[in-house]
Amino acid sequence: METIKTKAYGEIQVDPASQITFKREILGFEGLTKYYLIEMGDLPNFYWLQSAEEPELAFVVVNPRLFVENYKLVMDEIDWGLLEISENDEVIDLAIVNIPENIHNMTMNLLGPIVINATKRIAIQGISMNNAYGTKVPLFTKELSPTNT
Amino acid sequence: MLVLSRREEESIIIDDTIEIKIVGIRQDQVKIGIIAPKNVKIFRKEVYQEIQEANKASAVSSLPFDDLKNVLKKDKKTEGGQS
Repeated sequence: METIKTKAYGEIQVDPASQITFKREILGFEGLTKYYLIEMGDLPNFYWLQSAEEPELAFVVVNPRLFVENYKLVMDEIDWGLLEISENDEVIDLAIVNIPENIHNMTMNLLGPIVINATKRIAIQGISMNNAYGTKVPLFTKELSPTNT
Repeated sequence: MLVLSRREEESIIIDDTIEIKIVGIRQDQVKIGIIAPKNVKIFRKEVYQEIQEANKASAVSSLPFDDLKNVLKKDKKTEGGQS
């Protein structure tokens, strides 16, 4: 085990083998390629994507299928190629969440999905080929939002 | 930056393999056709900028963890147990 500094939890122990390497970095954070995916203790399905190189850099990520019905990840061959997926590799795709002051208005970025080859620990921020998805897709529909009552 | 003047239907070739053709011109808009190998990624620059801006905005300073849990609980309840 190795000790790393995190934004959310201070120093924590991680298995170095679980480190993820970005083959295409998160746009705007070029040069930072090493991340850990950390489960949020009592918030199931939410994760921290914590930079291993920059303790203050961490993204909240979530499985978009929990909030968008029939969500489909569509990327071009170049993006898929970067992930070096072989037959039995497990692939996980997540969306970066934006948390504004009023958290009922949380959004997620479906235009730039985070796609991870969990077996090989390789990841990219892909670019969605699905034009219907933008960078600010609400997690909660207006009808469900308690602020809208 | 290299600047070239082209008329409608004229092209430029980049690196022997990428052809950029002026397909149409009208007032304030130029239609551009691109012929490129499959391994060349082509997107409007705005797409990159939009993702980059969203990423930067999401690199939040703090997470209102308890608030978030409450909202998610409420949401789950309203949805009527749908997971």
